[in-house]
Amino acid sequence: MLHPALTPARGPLARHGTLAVPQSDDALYQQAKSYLSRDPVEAKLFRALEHSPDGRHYELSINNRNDDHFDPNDDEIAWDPYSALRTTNGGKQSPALGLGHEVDHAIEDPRVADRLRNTPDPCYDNAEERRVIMGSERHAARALGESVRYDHGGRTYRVSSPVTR
Amino acid sequence: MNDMLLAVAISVTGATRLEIDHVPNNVSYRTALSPRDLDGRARIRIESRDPAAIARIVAAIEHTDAAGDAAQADLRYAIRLRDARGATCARIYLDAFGERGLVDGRRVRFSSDAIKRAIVAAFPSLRN
Repeated sequence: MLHPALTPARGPLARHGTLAVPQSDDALYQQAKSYLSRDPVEAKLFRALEHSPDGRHYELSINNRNDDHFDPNDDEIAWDPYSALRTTNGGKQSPALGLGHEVDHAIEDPRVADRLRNTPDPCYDNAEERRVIMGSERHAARALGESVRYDHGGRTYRVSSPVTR
Repeated sequence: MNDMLLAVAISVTGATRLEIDHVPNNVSYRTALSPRDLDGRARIRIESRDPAAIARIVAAIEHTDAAGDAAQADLRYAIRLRDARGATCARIYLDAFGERGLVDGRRVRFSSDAIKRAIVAAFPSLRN
């Protein structure tokens, strides 16, 4: 446990059903969600995130370290809203698409996600990454005119908004 | 690249200190973690001078073959072995399965997950 003096200060949270978002960053979340929800698959993911049927409560944490991840140990989604991705093939993906990627991991049945994560995959590292990248991420990328990935790679770069690439 | 014995590629026999950084395997990242990502995001850091633990891990390294691999793996374990003067003998990165990684900067596929099994046996907190 962190010493109290080292515990990061937490500001007020905006509640979206079963998702809590730092109020100071809520506009960034809303912008990304609105953009991604033009794709019906992504819209469904966000509905599941905000209205979790199994009682899970999620928290979105914002960073500026190019760090997008989902941690099932505390149901935290970490997201850098200014971190875009250059794919291995030279394509570009917005920060918003990174959020969508992590939301798909978050709402997956934990037992299924666990089984898939423990299954190696030669192209996507594990079967859970394959499921997300070839599934919702690819669908949204095509619907929104972004680049698709054929692996779990890419290099981050900075952009001016969650929907820029 | 032909199969190579790791012990040929790296020198681990004089290791007296071991450091391991680990990012939990069940945390999903947007992109596969690079060595730099792993160094910056490790949540578990272990340092040991236990000769028995180091000997078992060195033995696993010496008995593991590796072949070149084109793809970048999603790295979750960084293993550094140091000699008595503190100089690095070897730097090995493993993916979550212990099957792929980097050896002194070269992408490799290991012949087995023996190195991962050895570090988990010595330090159970590295299991997940």
